[in-house]
Amino acid sequence: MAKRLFRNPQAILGLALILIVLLAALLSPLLAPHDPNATDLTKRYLAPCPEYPLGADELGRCELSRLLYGARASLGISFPVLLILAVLGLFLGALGACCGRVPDQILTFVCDTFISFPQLVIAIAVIGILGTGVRSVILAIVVAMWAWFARMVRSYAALEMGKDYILAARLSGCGTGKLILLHLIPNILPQFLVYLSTGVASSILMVSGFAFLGLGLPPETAEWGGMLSSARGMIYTHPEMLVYPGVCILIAAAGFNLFGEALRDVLEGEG
Amino acid sequence: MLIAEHVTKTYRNGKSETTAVKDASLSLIPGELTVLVGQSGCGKTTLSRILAGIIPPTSGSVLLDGQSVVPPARRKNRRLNAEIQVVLQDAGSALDPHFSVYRSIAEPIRNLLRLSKAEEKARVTSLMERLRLPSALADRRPGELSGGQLKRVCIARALATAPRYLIFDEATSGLDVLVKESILDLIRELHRETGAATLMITHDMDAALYMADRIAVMLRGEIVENRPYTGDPGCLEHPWSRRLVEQMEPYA
Repeated sequence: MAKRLFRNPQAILGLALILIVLLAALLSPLLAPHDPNATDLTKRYLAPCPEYPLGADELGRCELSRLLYGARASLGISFPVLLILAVLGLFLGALGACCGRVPDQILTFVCDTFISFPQLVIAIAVIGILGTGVRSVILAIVVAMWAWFARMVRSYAALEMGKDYILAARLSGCGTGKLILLHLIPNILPQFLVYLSTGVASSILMVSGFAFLGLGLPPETAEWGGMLSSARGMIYTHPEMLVYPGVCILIAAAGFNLFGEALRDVLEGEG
Repeated sequence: MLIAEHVTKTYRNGKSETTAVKDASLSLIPGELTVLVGQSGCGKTTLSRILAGIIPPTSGSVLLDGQSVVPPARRKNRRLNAEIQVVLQDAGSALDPHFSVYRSIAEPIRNLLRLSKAEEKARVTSLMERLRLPSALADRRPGELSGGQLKRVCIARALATAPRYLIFDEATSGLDVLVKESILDLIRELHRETGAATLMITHDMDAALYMADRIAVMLRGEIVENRPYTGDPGCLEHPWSRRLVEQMEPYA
C-alpha cells in the first residue's frame, strides 16, 4: 500500500503540504524572526522587508512569526481533538456493531440526534456553557464531531461483522473485547485513517472558525482564524493581512484532505 | 453425542417468513462420518450452524452429552467451544486477512486451552506438519496462500483444540478436482486418526458417497433420508436421493 501511495501524485502533494505545516508548527521557535506577540506601534502595517519578511500587523507584530506560531495553535488543538475522537469513535462504533441490537439502536439514535445539528452550533453551545480557553475548544469540537466518527466506525464495523473471519474468531473463543481489538479495529483501520485525515482538516477549519468568531482562544493568541478575524477591517487597505492566514488555512486543510482522498483511492484500488 | 432434535429455523422479515430448516433431527456419533447432502439453499448450512451452537433454532433442541448448545450457552462455555469446531465454507474469508498462518492456528489454542508458549508452538508446528503445510508458510498472510492451503489452514485451526465434533461446511467448494480429492482424503484420514464425530456438508453427491459412513439427504429444509451408508448407492430409497445419485458427475 505504501508503494502505491507514494506513486500517487495527489498523496505526495498532500503529504508535502502536511509536512510544511508540521515543520512550521514544530520549528516555529527557530524559524520565527520575532516574538509573535511583541508589539511595536512604530512598525504598524510595515511593508515586507528583510527584518519583517511578510510585514507587520496593526499592532506592529511580525506577520510571519504569527503565522508560524499559528500552525502550532491549529495543530496543537487539532491533534488532541483527533486523538480523543479516534479513541471515542473506535470504541463506541465497534461496541455498537458488536454488542447486539439494543446497544446499536441506542448508539444510532444518539448519533443521529447529534448529527441532525450543525457541528458549529453544537460547538458554540458547548463553549457558551464552558467558557473560552483551549480545553473548552477541544471539548467543544469533540462534542460536535464524535457522533460522525462513531457512526462511521459503526457502519464499517457492521460490514465486517458479517464476514466469516469474525464468525471463525467467535468459534475460536474470542470474547467481545478481543474481537474488537484483534479483529475488528485492524480491519477497519485503513478506512478509519482516511476519515481521520479528512477530520484533521475539518478540525483545523473549526478551530479557525472559532477564533474568527471570537470564541475559544484568547484574542492575543497567534492563530490563523483569529488573525483572519482581526484583519477583516483591513480588506481594502491591507488585503494581504487576510490573504496570509487564509492561505495557511487552505494549505493545512488541503494537505490533509488531499492525502485522505488519495489514501481512500489507493485502498479502494486494493479492495 | 451431539443431538439435534426436531429442529426448526424460521427467518422473519417483516410479514414474510422463510423456514430454512423444518423439523430436522440429526445425531453426530463419535467415530462416525456423517454427510449431509442436498442442493444449494436447502438449509444444510443453517442446520450445521444450529448444531454448532452458532445460531439458535426457532424450535427444537441441540444437546451435547445432555447439555444445551443453543446460543448464548456456547459463547460462555469454553469446553463447548473447544469440543465443537467448524470449518467454514469460504476459506478465503474465514481467515482474518491481518493474521499470519501461525497466529490463525494458534488463536483457538490461546483462547480456549491456555497452553504455555512452548506448548502452543509445538502444537501449531505439529498441526502444520500434519496438514502438510510447509513451515515457511507460518508467517504468510491469507492473501499469499492458494485455495488448497487456505482450506488446510482452516482445518488446522479447527483441529487445534482437538475437538470431539467437527463440522465441514462445503469443504471442497471452489477447489479444482485434484485439490478437492486431496482435501476429501485428508478429511477422511483426520477422521480416522481423531475419531471425532464428523459432519460433512456438501451439495456434491459423488463426494458424499465417497466419504459417508452415514448419509443424510436434505430437501427444502427437511431431512428426507438418514441412514448408514455401506458403499452401495442403491441403498438410498427416497426419490430425491435417487435423483441426486442419478445426476452426479463422477470424478474423471
